[in-house]
Amino acid sequence: MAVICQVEALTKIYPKAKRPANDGLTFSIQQGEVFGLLGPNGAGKSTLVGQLAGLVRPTSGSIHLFDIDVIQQPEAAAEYVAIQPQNSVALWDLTPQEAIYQTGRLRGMSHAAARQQTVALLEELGMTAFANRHVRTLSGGQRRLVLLGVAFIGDRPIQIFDEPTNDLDPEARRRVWDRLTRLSRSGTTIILVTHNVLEAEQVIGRVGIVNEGRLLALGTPGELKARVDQRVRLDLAPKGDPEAVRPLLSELGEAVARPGGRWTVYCERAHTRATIDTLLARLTIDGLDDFRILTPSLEDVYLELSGGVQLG
Amino acid sequence: MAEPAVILHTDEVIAALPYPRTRRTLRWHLAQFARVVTVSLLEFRTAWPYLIVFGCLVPLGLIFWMSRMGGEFSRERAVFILGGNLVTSIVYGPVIGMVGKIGWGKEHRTFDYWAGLPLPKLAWVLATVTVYLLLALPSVAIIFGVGALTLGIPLVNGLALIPLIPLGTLSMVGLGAFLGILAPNGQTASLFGNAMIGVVTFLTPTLLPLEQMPTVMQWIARVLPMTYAADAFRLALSGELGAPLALDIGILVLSSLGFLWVLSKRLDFRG
Repeated sequence: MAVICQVEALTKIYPKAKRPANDGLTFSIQQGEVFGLLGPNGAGKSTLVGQLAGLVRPTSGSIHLFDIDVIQQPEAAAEYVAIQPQNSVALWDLTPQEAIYQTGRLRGMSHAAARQQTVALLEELGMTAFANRHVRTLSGGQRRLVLLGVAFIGDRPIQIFDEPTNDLDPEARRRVWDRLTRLSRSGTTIILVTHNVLEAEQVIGRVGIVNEGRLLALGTPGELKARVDQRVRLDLAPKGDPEAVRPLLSELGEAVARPGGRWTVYCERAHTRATIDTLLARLTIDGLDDFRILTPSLEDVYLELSGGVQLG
Repeated sequence: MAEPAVILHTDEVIAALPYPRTRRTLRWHLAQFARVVTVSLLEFRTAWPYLIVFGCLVPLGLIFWMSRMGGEFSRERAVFILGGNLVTSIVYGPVIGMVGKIGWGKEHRTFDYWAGLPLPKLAWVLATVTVYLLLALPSVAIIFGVGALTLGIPLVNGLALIPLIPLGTLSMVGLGAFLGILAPNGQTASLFGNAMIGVVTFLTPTLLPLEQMPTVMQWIARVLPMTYAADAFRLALSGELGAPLALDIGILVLSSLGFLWVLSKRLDFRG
């Protein structure tokens, strides 16, 4: 696959900041892939995507989109990149329909094409009911959908989404993930900043884990998950006294008590089936308030790499 | 051996541009300018009545108050009052609005939206100034109409104002934008906007003739575009279309170009 974005030794230091927001980042993104960026608040993810979109001026390093040096020609980024920021008060006095349509026109679409895609996006993202209300009067989730519509229109070959599903209800989240999946299949390169790791894992091709401005790890979810404890976790909440099940769980594997009367039992992959059979035979499914089988996730990768700091 | 921190995929070629970059012709610039004007006008849909009211309120009050102050009331005095209050109207509406737009825009990062579009910064600047000019016109027209009728100035004298209003507004709104750039945040921009009320009232010859102002204040007045706008408006209202008016126009043109140049250089869309 061809490289669409090359980042080398990228550093951003804001005035009066104690540490760099981005510190010597080097990576590349393939054309058509979904590239995820994970990390805690303040890790430098938004600064990084802002630089990729030509909105933030780097302190040093280089960014190439296609063969264009974006630092020398930041205006070129706007021709090929669309970004959905976490928040924006721009266009708050327009309606969603106007905001999306006018952005399409500013991206060079004809009146007919912009109008057609605006109608399609309003429908697809479930915005028809509030398409003619002023953005400032909408809820946080509805505003997020407007920002997404504004990013989608014009079909830029590189689309960046910064927390696209925050504030969204489950139905809207599903619509957004469906749209991102379709975009990816159509060859659009997607850069995704998200805390919603479980949902994002469904679409991400490669992921970079960022903290304190540095890239802690980069690879496919499979490559990264291979680095962490491969044991399967059985997460359960027994009914009654949680301490009563300690002897049984200790027999099955490494058992760790969790807050709220929950337990996590770590078992080797090869023994998963037998462990679950034994557990359910002894406790019965009716003896459990909750029971989950968990395999290593990107969040585990992140927690291991960052020394336990939660994503958020 | 420890695993590398980053797994790089290095066996790639650079992707080809999916389409050529836009040719930035004059026609393209004009089209983008028109689209920003459209968006900006839509943004003012709910605020424009207030902008017009605030642009009229104080100047109309001042016209009423000044026309009833003691002393001999001459045509010269009537022209002085009306010309000064036309400037006051533009400052109270579009100029203060522009200070806030840039200052709060920086704080809320609304420029990220514009910077993320294929849009020359100068096109945004010109479009925004144009919108403020358009928004200034109703209150200027109301003040001229009411003022001329109240003060007994022939309405026909207003024809000469038509080309001067855009020029005066451009130079003053340019000053407002410059102050917005200087403001580190929205709150300070609001304070700068409020300060403009004091500046136009006490540091420019809108209410008091220049020669009656203290010397230091005269120096300050001579570097502010409001002084030349007020003088130009008064000369036009009194039908004096000679060299003094040409000098005022020259200064307003230069200050407008200067502010546009500073804006296109100093207004930073990128953080």
